[in-house]
Amino acid sequence: MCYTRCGEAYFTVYKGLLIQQGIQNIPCLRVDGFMAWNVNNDKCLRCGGCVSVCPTAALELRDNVIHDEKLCTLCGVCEKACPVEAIKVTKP
Amino acid sequence: MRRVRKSLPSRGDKGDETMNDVIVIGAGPAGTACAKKLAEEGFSVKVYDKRAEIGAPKRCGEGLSEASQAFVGKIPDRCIAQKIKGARLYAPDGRYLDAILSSGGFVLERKVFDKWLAEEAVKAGAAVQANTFISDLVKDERGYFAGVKGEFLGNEFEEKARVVVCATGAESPLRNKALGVFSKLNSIDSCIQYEMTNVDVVPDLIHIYLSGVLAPRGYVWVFPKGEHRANVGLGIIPQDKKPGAYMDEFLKLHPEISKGSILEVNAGCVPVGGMAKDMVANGFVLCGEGANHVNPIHGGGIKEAVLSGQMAADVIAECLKKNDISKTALSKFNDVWWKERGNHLKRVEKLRETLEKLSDADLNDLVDALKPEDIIEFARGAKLSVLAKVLMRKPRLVSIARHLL
Ligand SMILES: Cc1cc2nc3c(=O)[nH]c(=O)nc-3n(C[C@H](O)[C@H](O)[C@H](O)COP(=O)(O)OP(=O)(O)OC[C@H]3O[C@@H](n4cnc5c(N)ncnc54)[C@H](O)[C@@H]3O)c2cc1C
Ligand code: SF4
Ligand code: SF4
Repeated sequence: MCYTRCGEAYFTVYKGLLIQQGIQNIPCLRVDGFMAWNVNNDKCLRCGGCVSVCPTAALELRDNVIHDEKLCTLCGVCEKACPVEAIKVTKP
Repeated sequence: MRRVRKSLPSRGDKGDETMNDVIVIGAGPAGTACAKKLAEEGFSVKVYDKRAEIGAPKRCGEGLSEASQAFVGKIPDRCIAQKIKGARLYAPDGRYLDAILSSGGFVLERKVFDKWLAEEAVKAGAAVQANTFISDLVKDERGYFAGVKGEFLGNEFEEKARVVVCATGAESPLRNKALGVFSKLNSIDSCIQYEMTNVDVVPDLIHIYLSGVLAPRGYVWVFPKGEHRANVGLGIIPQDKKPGAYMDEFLKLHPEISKGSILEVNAGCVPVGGMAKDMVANGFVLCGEGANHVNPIHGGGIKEAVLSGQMAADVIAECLKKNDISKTALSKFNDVWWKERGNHLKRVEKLRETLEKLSDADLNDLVDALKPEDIIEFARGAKLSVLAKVLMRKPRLVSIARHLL
């Protein structure tokens, strides 16, 4: 499910999966990887630094860092704070 | 399928059997200090911590002044890795001065220390449970915070309390969900630390290296832990170049340290400012590092966490006795904390903001011009006018110095 809700996307069903696409020639930023939040669990030291700076409470530290796409605005603050380059926030 | 377990019966004698007076989230120094005081007052208190082992992994340089025992209590020897006399402060050019503390200090073993604090809380009558993740807060029909949702060994549970204390440190979104508190990016230091062995440093001093090149805005620390062990760490203003890269550069310059081996790697973001203005809601109190109650100049948070937890406990006890746990009643904690600690830490934050504007050359001159006693006073946020006077000798620094006055 898309939580960005840019209003530019529509959904199609492909091989039984709900796929999100851009309208006409506008690509969907999330699906096409232009906008994304990723954590590398091999690098992450479970320090919680990213959680402490997230303005929208989108992160939580359990065994791994848990990311709530619904709340994340892809502001990139967590990526800056992380002491070990474990987070990558991709923006267009 | 997950079973939803009924809450454990409380050991308290007041009212409803399954109702705790207080649930504390987090068994760090703030949480256990708060729980201990409340239990001593006769309230039923339960402390939950998500860590499988309380205190581990550590996220701390483990330095604490001996004077802190006045409120932490007499720290048993098993919690102390190394006794220290004071701090050796290195200017960027390598010159140093020794600031000797009148009563000395400790490098602790946090894994043992935090457990001891938890034991003290249990002795006073509180219940502590590790490995229990608190996932959410629960409100009652009045809209007051009135309990928590948690998980222990795969079993989810919900448990009620008259007051919920959030002592989770900065690492939990609960403080943000309840009060909108989080750390601003420019108010944290991004840190990495290696616990090393086979390191050669003067063992009874903590070593602090100031340098805008080695650790922009922050500093490098080497805290000896006895028998050639030491916590070697650094904190910097968050940026694209990560603390690990700075650490490599520091180690290259210090063969007496880099010859050692790394036993443990810790990371963390320590708040160095931005203390929360409002720490209470109806039935809810935030204390400790979660409220950014940390000394902004050196990032020391153990003492502030304990003080903050204890002050919170005093106010909560008073409110529970009066049976008024509204935000208005609990907001006495805001008043007390800001009066006793906040205004003081605010001055320290100003000092930090001043120092971060100085170049390495300025820092060299400063270390030259200052007396060791002054340094100790500065770290406490006192005698800042002395520092301002030293800075004012350079016309370029006059405006920076004014910020202090
Ligand atoms: C690299 C580094 C070095 C430091 N060095 C020093 C130093 O030398 N001296 C010093 O005094 N201070 C130092 N500090 C700061 C100090 O460690 C903290 O400020 C202090 O531990 C804060 O205490 P606290 O009780 O508020 O929080 P914490 O000690 O962080 O305790 C919070 C507890 O809450 C638990 N918790 C969090 N979320 C949940 C949840 N959802 N459910 C259940 N439990 C939860 C955590 O597991 C944790 O045990 C350092 C910090 C860092 C990052
Ligand atoms: S990008 Fe911003 S909003 Fe998203 S998780 Fe990181 S800090 Fe939170
Ligand atoms: S700040 Fe980085 S290392 Fe720390 S928990 Fe977040 S992703 Fe992991």
